[in-house]
Amino acid sequence: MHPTDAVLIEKCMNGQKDAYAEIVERYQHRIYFMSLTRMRDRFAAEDLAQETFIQAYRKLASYDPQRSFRNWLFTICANLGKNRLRSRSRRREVHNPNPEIIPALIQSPEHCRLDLMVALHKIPEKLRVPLFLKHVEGFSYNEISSMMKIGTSAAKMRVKRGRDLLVLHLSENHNHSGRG
Amino acid sequence: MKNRDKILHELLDGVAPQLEASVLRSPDAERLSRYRDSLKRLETHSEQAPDDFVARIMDALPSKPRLNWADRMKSFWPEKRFWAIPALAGALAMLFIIGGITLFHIPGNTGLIPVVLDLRAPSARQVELVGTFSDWTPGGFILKGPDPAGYWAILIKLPPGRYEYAFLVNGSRLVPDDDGEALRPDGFGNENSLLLVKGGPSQFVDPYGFASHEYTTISLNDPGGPAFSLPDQNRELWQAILRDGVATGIERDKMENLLSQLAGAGITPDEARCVLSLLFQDDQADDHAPYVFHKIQESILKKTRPETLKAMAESRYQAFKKASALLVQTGHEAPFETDPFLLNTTAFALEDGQSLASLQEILGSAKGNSSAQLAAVIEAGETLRHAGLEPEILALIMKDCLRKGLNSQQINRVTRHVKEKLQEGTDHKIILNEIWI
Repeated sequence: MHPTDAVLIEKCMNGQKDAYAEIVERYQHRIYFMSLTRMRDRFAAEDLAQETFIQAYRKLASYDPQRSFRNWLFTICANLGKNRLRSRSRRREVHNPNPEIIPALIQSPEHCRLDLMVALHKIPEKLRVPLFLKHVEGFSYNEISSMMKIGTSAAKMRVKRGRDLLVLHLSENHNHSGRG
Repeated sequence: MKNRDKILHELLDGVAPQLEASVLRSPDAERLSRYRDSLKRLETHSEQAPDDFVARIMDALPSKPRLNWADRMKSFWPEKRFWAIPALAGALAMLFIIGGITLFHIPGNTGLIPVVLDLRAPSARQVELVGTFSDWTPGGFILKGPDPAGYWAILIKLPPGRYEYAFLVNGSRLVPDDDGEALRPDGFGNENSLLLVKGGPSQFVDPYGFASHEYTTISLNDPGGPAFSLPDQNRELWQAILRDGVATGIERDKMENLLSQLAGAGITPDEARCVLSLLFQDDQADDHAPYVFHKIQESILKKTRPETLKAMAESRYQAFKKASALLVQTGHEAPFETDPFLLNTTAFALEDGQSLASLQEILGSAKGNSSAQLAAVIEAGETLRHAGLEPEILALIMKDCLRKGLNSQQINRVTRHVKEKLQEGTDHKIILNEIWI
């Protein structure tokens, strides 16, 4: 039987650093996906995911065991991502992928993977993240609102608009590749 | 319409399932199914963190979970009314610290970055390190070893910059370091290793766990190393060349060192003057002279004939001149004394066969990037060009790195990733698409 997050965190607090490896192992792909949703760029996403785990480890002493560790971890990732995008947007426009680079793959599982990510990244960042939290991580609107520090109705509205845009962009991509 | 829209999203949220049957009978049935299909794609999609992700994080963790000072301070911060007390205490402490630093300034950080280089050579009698940081002169950097696994190691401290180096085994055989940042053709049919020493806080990790006294430790600031003086034979002719060099602004010590190395290699004063003539004709020779000297010194170590030596010196010199002009033309001119990294990297890329037009395109596309980012991208371009990446794809990746404003470490990771993919035989376009996402 796998130990719960709470047990592993207690071990970390008692100096068993190895227990944290299990935590990272458990959440690495999900936090990486969240980072990739946020950052668009896989290397910046790796950095964000890495920083999320390091920050979480540093702040373990301030973690309240009554709360869900998963929520806490995703909140750290959301906040760090917001800070990073803020500093990036001061330097350049990040909402358009490089226009010179156009995915040129034939229909394949790899193509579908890229297709979804392309559609996802066409959605504005403030809608993309709630959409991810709702549909990939399955958080409730209340949880999303407290993680993103917005009202519950704003969270609902953002998820709704995110869905609309995802469907729109996926069908656009489909039509585009159908013509190509 | 609004109501139908609301019902659709409530169904997607799993609320009001009793309405599903009526929606399925309505014109919205197809819309609902399209939404569900799209969301299912998102919900079943997964992304994999890199293979070494857990190890990378575990390496970067502090020894204990510990709050940083800002978080700790928060717990001391009193509620509303008494905020002025810690604020005043903090301001007072700050005054003492600033005053203390001003009064008792201790020079500590030398700006040198420690680097450990090693080579596995169990049967070697002696291993030396030679490179641009030592003017390719043997005798100054001798590695400690071998350890039980056959490794020889040396710890050197260098200022940030770009260096080329190789190991000199048993005083005669030059061996590049396969663990270096990259291998670069040396122009003589062999390869040198590349060492990029980055500035900023040192992240030195002792790879062997040796005690520091067990390394041969040499820093560039140390006095010593082989000293040279002009030969007695034809002394007047050598002195005349020395005077001409110093008159163009080249440092006397460097010039004297070079001339004695040339004499030691059997080069006559006439041949030496011929090799150096191009430097003597230029007012800005002193900017590029150290790099031309390195090439000449490397050539001497590799026992090159005098005519080849002149060609090598000329090629290096022209590369630096072209690079300077290119950086001015593209608006990336940086003060050479304080920031030579970009000029070095551009010049070495040109010398290495990178086309002027492609570098012009990359430098021209940069907007708001620092010189460190530009240098890292050009260096990455060189490494990937040698790894066999198609030039068009390479240019797109380089421009994309600049466009995204990736820092040097991220650019290095892009390089490693692309190199691995190339070694795996992945299609170049697929690599490009992966980088983009």
